[in-house]
Amino acid sequence: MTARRRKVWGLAFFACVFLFLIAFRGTEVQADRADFAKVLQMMPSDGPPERYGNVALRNRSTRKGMAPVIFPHWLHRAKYTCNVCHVDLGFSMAKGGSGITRGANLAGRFCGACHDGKIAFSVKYDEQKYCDRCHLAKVSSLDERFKEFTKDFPKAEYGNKIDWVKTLEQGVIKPKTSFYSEETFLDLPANLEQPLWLGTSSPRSKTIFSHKTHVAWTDCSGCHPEIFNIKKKGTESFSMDKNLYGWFCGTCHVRVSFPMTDCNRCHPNIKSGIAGRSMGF
Amino acid sequence: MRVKMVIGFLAALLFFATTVGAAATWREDFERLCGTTERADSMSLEELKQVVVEADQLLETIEKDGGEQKKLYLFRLRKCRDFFAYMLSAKEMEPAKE
Amino acid sequence: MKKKCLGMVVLLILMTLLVSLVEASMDGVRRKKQRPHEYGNVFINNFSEKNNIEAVVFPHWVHRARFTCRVCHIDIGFAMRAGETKTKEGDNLNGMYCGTCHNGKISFGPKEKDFFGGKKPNCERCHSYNKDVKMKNDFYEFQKEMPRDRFGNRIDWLKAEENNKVKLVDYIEGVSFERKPIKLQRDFSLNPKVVEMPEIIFSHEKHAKWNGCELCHPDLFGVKRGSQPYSMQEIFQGKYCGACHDLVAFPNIDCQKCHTKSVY
Repeated sequence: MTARRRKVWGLAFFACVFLFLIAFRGTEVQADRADFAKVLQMMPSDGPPERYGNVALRNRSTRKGMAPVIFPHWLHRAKYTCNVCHVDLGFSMAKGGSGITRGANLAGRFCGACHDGKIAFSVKYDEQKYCDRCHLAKVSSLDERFKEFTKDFPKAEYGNKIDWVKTLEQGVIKPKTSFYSEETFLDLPANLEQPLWLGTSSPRSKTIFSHKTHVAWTDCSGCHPEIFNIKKKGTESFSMDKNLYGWFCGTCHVRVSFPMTDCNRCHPNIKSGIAGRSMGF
Repeated sequence: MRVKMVIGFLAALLFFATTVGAAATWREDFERLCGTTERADSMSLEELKQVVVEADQLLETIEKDGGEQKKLYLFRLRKCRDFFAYMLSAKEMEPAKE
Repeated sequence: MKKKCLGMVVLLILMTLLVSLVEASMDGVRRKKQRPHEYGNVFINNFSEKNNIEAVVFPHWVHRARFTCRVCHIDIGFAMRAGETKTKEGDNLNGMYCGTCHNGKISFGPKEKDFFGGKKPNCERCHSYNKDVKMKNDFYEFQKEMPRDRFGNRIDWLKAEENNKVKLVDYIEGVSFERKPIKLQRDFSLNPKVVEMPEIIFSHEKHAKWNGCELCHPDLFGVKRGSQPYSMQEIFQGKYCGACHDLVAFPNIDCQKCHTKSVY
């Protein structure tokens, strides 16, 4: 091989290696810590606790001239687990994904399954109309009920500022686990009863995950296999960027469950004081 | 002349009758072979082998004489033939009767 | 020589792109779930669009409330995957495939009576893809009477048959054979690959009652039980149990329907 040829092949080889590296690393943009802090500050979790978890359903309401529906998760999760609405009653986790119509409500589906005058106030036009209990032009009437409703609940630092896990464990709330009372759920396999340590890109940010606390609210199908594929590829690729964007844990832990600003709930080895200061909190 | 015409007509009739008869018989064969898949578990190895061989022959017949419904019956016959072949191989792999 | 190297570099770039695309899989997000009335719908478009008509939307729920799986998938000859049967209009008009029942006698035909006593084509009862066609059978009215389930159509079809809410026809004149019932098979257990999950109790009886034998063997299950382990990944991709469970029968995320026997 001539010297020239060797040079060209050598260059080509390094070019390919370089491209491979870019391709695999390039799909993840590692955020600068200061930028990261800014994102966290903008997140809904930093708003007023009574508004955290509220979902505005405005697809069809506004088209019909009604105020949008403001759905408060805090009020409903004290009475029902995630399964009841998101599995049994067919509510989607994506806004606009359920296909709720007034006709469906009146036929006893979606909101109408409970809001029938017996379990909760009715969607129907009976002697009293309850339209503005849900179609809220001003959310303050809902916000005002929050403090009274949650006064005995164990507190936390972020999100609703309520530790829902403790609230459930201590029996302060007793949410129904199924809309249809005959349900029995798969027992958690014994080896999953202990919390698991899940690796991340850095050993310091190792995550602790408890199946038990999650299974109390949802069952296997809530997370597996769509969000967390049961093919064990490891968890190192679950970057914070992806999570904040709403993938993986971020499906719930950005807008409804305790938010990711509560770092130590999952990353116990990070000193949140230090982390907080460097993040700009 | 007329006699020739009559004989010719009868011959044609007989010819068509046999082809129609052939069509009728392949359907009967099909029903005989594939109408008893539920018995497959209790059939012996020889019976299963026989069914597979006959099904293969019937596939060729339907390929030729199937008519409009050829596509459908080939599909059904293949399904039933493959099933019997599967039962045959499963039984051959069994070390002894359970 | 330079061209060769350039070619190799280009090839490597393309391979890299391909691999990185594959890496960015859809794990991590919830996919849009089919609504109860849509679950089991099959879109058939072998020839429709080419002939300037909308694709066919075939609703499984209407049909499985009246017939066993075997009647359509064995006796009438429909394949198990959308688009594999390649049904043509001519086949239907000749009394094959859909035309076996949709001939105006067992069920509606390609023409229906109009107000004046004549006949008008009602193609869009089936060729309804992306068209807002109101179905004559209302799903939610039907679902009200049925035992509940958590996923899929939200109907427990097995219980529905046990409680006589649906009566399934297993025989069509001129097409099906008179069949004797299959010798009763005992349920057996399948040990999951991932040891922590409860065992799977498989009931041949429940499946054979509606499918017969040839539907599953050997096309879906071609090997002797236990000789070849298969994984949930393969099932989620539509192989083995996944040929039906996730498309028409209760979906695979209903873990406890199969993983019923606790190992502990």
